[in-house]
Amino acid sequence: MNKTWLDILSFLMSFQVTPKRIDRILEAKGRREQQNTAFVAPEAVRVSAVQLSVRKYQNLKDYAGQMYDLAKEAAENGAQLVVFPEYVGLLAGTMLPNYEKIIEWVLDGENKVGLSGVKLAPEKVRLLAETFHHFLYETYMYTFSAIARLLRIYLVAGTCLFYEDGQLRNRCVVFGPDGEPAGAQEKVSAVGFDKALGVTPCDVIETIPTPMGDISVVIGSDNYYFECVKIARARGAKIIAAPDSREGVTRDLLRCRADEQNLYTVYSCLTGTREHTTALAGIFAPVGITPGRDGFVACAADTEPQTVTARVNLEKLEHVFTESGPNPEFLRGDYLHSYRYCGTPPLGETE
Amino acid sequence: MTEIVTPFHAPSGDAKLVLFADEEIHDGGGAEQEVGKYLSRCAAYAAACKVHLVSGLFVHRDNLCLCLIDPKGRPLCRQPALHLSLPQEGRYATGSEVAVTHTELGNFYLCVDADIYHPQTVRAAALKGADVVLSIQHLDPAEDTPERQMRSIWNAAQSNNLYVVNLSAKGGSVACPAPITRARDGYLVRRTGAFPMRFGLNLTRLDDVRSGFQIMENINTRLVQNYAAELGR
Repeated sequence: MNKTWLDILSFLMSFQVTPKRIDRILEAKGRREQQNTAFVAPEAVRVSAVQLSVRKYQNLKDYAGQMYDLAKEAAENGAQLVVFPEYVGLLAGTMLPNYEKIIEWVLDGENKVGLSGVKLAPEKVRLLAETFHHFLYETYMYTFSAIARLLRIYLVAGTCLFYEDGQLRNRCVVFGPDGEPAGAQEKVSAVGFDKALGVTPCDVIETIPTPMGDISVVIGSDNYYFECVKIARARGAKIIAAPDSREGVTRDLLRCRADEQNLYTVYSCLTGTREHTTALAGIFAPVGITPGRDGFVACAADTEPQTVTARVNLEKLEHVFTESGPNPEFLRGDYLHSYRYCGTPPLGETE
Repeated sequence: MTEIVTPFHAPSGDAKLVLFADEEIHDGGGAEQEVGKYLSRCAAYAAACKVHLVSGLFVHRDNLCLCLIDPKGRPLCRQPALHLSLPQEGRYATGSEVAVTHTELGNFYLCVDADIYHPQTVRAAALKGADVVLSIQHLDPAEDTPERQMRSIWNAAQSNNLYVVNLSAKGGSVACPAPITRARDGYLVRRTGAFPMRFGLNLTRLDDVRSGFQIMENINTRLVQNYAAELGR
């Protein structure tokens, strides 16, 4: 595997994947006349989480087609906001000829299933990012933009790797019903697979205005940090879209975050590898406003690719019982000061 | 070995850390002397059994508190509650600092009653180096549900990569980072009311998990700085 060969592959893909081809494929699948966001009431916002399998996509039609079909299923179930999983943009990389060999090469021959604990060669990751950035960018941006426009929905398009100014960003773009980006959110911490890739964290939590109210996106392992969700809630978000790519405890963490911060969380995940066998997409709310008092609004029944759609009542969040109030003296004092001990540059230090 | 025993019952010979299965609030009926007697009895127990002991909940100088006593019967730490549950609001004053106690058994944070519901408390403790959170709650058994356990102790363990030992509503449970547990579910001991309850806190294994998935090391402090106003509410 060398740079020349990768360059040839990239050149080849620049013919196979073009904005026009993406549009043509998706336009042929049909445009939806009904716009689910035409009438929005906070008591009845319909959200959907997409559950996807990790698999090889044969070509652009296969990739864009499946994304469209899942989003369409959600839209036909009335979804106004549809959330795709983390790294959905990277799945387009499986279209590359001999992609298995590329993966093997970047893993240094390590036979590893799943993303956790994976070891990657940084210089090879960088070379791949430089070579295939345009291919991944165009596939991701044009595919999900077209789907949002054709189905007339808000689309939280999972994430893709963006290579900008020599840095890798794990970014989620949210598209509006006009197909234009309504906002974006990047990963704010690099742990696990993101760290192995060398992703640069961002320092901002966006709130994205939609007719359903402000939403925020908290990506994958960022959900270990309650801070992200608290910031989003404090800035007005009542719905957190949570694209994820890893198995483990993230789903239950999202149940906890919903209850702890008094909002709805929409969890979209990847399944289909040995590591991902128990990941199930779902929609969660504070325990007190769910029928079973368990935090579940809806959840996938199995690991097959599917959408989970449910109605959420944002008004109910105003009436959630809290067990005890905050302690402002502690929060502004000892609590904020304690971040000085986490090992990264202390608060207040500037470059 | 850590053991939860009925109050003042002798622990096993290999127990190093003991908690009493007692989540009543010792307020001495308003008389501080009575509370003092209770604490003296705790200290004598710790010295006699040569264990670290976590007292039950008690009221001291208007604070709802927990106390850690060393094997010589000396108090190592007095932690007042930072938050109060609704029935306690107005009855007690609140503290404003999290204290982490460093011992040869590990670094402990005593989490008083409703403090476990506030993620900032355990986060501050974890940032200060806590390995184990010892949480005792005065809770009506009717309020105790698996969901409450998950959103409080399990959540704290996963979000901060540490052990959380919880005593509430006449039962005990232990949560820890999911990779430590065989079932990968994050519960070292599921809730039980059968005492004595014995378990090991494997800090070497905890360190392995922490080095593999560095939650605390990768906190984005610039993000915290940018949103200090939101986080400080």
